[in-house]
Amino acid sequence: MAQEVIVGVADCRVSNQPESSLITYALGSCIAVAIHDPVSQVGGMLHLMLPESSLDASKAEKNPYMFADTGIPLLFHQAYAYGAEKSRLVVCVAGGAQVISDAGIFNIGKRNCLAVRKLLWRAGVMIRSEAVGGSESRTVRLEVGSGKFMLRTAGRPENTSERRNDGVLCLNR
Amino acid sequence: MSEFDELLSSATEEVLENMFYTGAFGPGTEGDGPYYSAGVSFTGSRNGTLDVAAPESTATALAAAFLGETVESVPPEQVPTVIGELANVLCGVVLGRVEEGGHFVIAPPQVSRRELASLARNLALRQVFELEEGTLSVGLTIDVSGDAVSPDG
Amino acid sequence: MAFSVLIVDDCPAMQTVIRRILGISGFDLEACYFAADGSEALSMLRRHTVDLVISDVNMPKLDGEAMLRCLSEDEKLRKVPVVMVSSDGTRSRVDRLVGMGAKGYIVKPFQPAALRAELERVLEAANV
Repeated sequence: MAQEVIVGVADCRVSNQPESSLITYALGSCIAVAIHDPVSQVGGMLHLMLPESSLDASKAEKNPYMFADTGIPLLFHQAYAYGAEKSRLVVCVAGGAQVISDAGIFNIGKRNCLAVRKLLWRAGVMIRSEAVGGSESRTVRLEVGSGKFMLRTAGRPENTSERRNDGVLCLNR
Repeated sequence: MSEFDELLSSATEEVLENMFYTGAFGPGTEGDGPYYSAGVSFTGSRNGTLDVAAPESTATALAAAFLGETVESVPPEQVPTVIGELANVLCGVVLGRVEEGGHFVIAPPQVSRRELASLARNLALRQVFELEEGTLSVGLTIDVSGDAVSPDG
Repeated sequence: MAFSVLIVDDCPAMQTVIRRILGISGFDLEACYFAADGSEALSMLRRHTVDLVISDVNMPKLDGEAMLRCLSEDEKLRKVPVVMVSSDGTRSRVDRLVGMGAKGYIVKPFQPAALRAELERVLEAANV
């Protein structure tokens, strides 16, 4: 029977149980980074809130999953510990919407998107698919056994994550 | 904002976000130099020039992001090359939107290191963008009738 | 199957980026050559076996368009698939270069995954 593992806000989960799904809800300006190794059948998901830990070093120390630059390396290393290999990892990214409650941290959704892209590029990791930007909240689910990355945007049925190959960051201005 | 202002702004954002993993977050104010400045001239359906300029620290950060390096590890000789490529790519994007179906030849970028006071300011259209890493200035002149004039006429 | 690539661009930084994308895309590269313009590219192609060319369009000495024309006139070299990489995404330019034999076209600015996808498409079509 499928087991749902909930990834909370500023949280990270990794699993090697093929019957599991990793799910995180209500991605507004936050970003979910989902990774999957189809050979070792290891899947991981990070729900991050902010781009850089230098924004608040003491918070980063208490919870490194809050920030892209501290959370992403931990996600990958935890996956390696379960037997995943970097060269095999399929990476999907979702979130980074511009939400009304953004006020006070200007354009945080866009900043998060760009930080994730920059970090993954620097780490030599390609992003397979992404669903980012816009203004709607997203819920995402990664099936650990199949590697399927499912996406639900408010008001619409769940779908596999769209693949953007047109070279344009999907940020609505 | 005029049509050309909006065009330059959206083109700059697109280039920065897709190849330099950097956002433009509103208008900026230029600080003291030294700056890396890159200019490209173009001919064809229309003639003109596009110029970009960034303080050294910003240029280094942009080069690091472009190459997938850290600021500490980016080879210094690549920094002017990357700024030149930024000008080149931006020019192509702008021209493609100015005139769909137009034919242009973009000359290789001319890159130099200079102080704030000597940056090209005679370009008809000029914007300064605030980036997380500093500022980026973008200037554009498009010849309309054979003389260099403002895009507004 | 391992294959060889020639990257043609007058910007060393862009050569580096394209090479990096090839590396992290998981392609099985036998060799990677570099040229700074179309003239150098033709010289490299006559000296080395190359299975794929990735080329800029705007370059000094001999630009990408002129290079394509030379390749199409060479019985052996015309079989090598060429992917153009350019900031000029105007319909007229794309149509002209594809009409001259380019098998792929990617517009700058592009994300790494976009270049990989275009290369995968071209390599599959060319049975490389």
